[in-house]
Amino acid sequence: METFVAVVALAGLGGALITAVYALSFLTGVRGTLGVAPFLSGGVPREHALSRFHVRWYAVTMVFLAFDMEMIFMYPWALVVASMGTMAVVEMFLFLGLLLLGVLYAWREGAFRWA
Amino acid sequence: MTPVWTVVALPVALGVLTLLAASGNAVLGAAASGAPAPLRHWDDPLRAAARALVQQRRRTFAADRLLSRVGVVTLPVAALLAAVVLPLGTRAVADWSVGVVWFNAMEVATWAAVWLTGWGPNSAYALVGGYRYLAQGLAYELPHMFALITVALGAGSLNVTRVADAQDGLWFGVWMPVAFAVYLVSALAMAFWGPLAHPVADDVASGAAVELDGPDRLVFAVGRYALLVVAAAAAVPFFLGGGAGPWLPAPVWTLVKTLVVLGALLWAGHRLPVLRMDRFLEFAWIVLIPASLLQMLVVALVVLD
Amino acid sequence: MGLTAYAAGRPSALLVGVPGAAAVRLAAEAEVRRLGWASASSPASASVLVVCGDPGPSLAAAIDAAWNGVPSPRADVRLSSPGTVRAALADVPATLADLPGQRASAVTGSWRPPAAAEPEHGHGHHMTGAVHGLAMAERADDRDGLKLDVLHLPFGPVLPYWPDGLQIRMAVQGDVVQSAEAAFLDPSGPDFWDEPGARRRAAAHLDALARLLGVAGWRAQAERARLLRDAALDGTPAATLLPRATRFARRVARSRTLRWMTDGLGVHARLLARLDATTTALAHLDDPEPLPPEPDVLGVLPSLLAGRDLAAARLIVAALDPRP
Repeated sequence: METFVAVVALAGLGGALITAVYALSFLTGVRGTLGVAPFLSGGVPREHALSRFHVRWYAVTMVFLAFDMEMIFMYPWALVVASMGTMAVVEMFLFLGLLLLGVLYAWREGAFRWA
Repeated sequence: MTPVWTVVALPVALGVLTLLAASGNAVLGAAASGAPAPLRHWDDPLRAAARALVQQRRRTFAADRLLSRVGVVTLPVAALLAAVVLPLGTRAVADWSVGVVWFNAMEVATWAAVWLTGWGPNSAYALVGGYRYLAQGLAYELPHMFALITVALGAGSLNVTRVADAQDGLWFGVWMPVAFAVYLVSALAMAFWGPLAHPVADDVASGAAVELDGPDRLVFAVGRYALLVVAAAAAVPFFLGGGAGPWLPAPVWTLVKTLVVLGALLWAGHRLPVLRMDRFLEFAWIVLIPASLLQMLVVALVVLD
Repeated sequence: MGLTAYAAGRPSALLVGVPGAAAVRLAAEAEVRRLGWASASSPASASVLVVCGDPGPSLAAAIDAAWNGVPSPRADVRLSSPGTVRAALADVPATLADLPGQRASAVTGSWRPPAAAEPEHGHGHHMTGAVHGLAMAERADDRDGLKLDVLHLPFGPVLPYWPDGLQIRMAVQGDVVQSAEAAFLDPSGPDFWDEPGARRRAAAHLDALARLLGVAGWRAQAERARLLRDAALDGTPAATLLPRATRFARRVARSRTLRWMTDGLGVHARLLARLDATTTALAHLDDPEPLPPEPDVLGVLPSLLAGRDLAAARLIVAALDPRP
């Protein structure tokens, strides 16, 4: 069997099973949808919950992105270290070292402490 | 080419292990809390599934049902698709040359899944839970990826079967202990399990999952257990030598090792309190990332040699 | 139908405590454990709502709001004394399995925000931002001088691991508490925990410890604290009780993860003090002292919570554990 076909078949099976759960729930569940207020431990909402959420760790997301870009190069790098030799390791860890300096700076500035 | 038996065996194995994980967890949890007769809780997950199926549907006010449905459904699908690169003994469904990257890519889908599940119902507690998962992702994902890259570096391949074969004689888990430990922590984090269950913690009435009704709740719970199973199963080719072992055939060894890792993850869930993200994130960046990079450096030097 | 009966055999219970009526809640918790039921943390996952005591009007309104969120098949159990718990809970599976009855009583339709919710806010112009009859979040200054959306969230009284009848109204930006107001809904009569005696005192501490451990996300130890609490109250001899309590206290006190998650908030020190008070009380069972009266916890709570995130705020509430 072609690998691609096998993976698509498995995804299809997963989709079918999930659909079956919803279908079964439709058949066996008590009919009608109960409209509810969001659970606020017995309280009534004063406004919609959807809002511009104060993401206090936004500074971390920036540092994260710097590393995440880096990771894309690290997967192929892992394959060629043995053939490229010392230079590959030196270059990669110099780059990682620079990024880590950034992390150190961000840490000193309190980017990882937001509470 | 994919052997047809793997296409049948994978969903069966994943289904059975998921059920086993849920059932085992119910018994372990009852025993850890000192409940009378913990063994009778073995069918708690089945009862919960039955409750979910007979329950009336429920919709929160002005909810975005499509978004939360997409989030809920993504969890089990991501787990299943991540599993296609894992060898069931010696053969995987997809024996791709970039299997490690595929595994990583599928498992990252949980970020979207949990956040959407929290955002969709227009409910404040759920929203808080959803955002907690994003913070958790920022904490665990980099150490997790560094652990995976370290493994690929040690094997000189991104093919999962070859990674497992490269451990002939000495498991990566033995000579890359830091990467293994980091991987286990990130396994808990990706399935938001046990100490890393902050996104669905009791302090916000189960957070991202607070408004899930019957079938949504069931699919979400199954997806979460399936993710935990897949994370445990992936540790076997990555760190525990895959199906290698004396006397028994490779599929049996794979199963045994998976069960051991899964058991340890479940056990940790009852053994530790929940980690708050503001503290864990700092630890992840200041301790886990440098430690996993050092581990990678050591492995790179060994590979050069 | 088989599936309904199977589901009804082990319901998922959401318990609500009433201030002063801890005796009923303790009996209900013990019975839920004996029956092996699941404990729900929200209406969506509950099939039974168990009200432990006779609530006053404002607590009853909150309980009704939670009940309205429980989907059918569902059962509503109102308990007024510990003696009625066993019989009342025994009827629940039959109620849940009664499919015709459940179908007939199932509620459908959508929820509408109450029109009265608006004027409390002050000016009429807020309605201009309303969507489907409910306002969108307004902006306000935060602690760092940014202008950010504010949500007004009540915490309690229907919440797992929460003091009976307490309600804290918080204004939050993201998950940071900007301000908080704490009050007990309909506090009534003498508190169950005010009775003198070392057993009662130890049990009160264990009850509070169970809430704190539950909020800290350590369900197994929270459950063990409750088991110990029940053992302390039902006259288990000191010779078996004290070693169990000491083991429990040692395990909780030694947890480095728990220390890491709770220090710096004043929570860990309080946790250790409570563990210590528990074992001391159990070591001197003939000491008739009642629980010492608490200073004005409700009064200081708002200032302690402001600027904290919700996870820390809940730990602080659980550590202080205000009583009516």
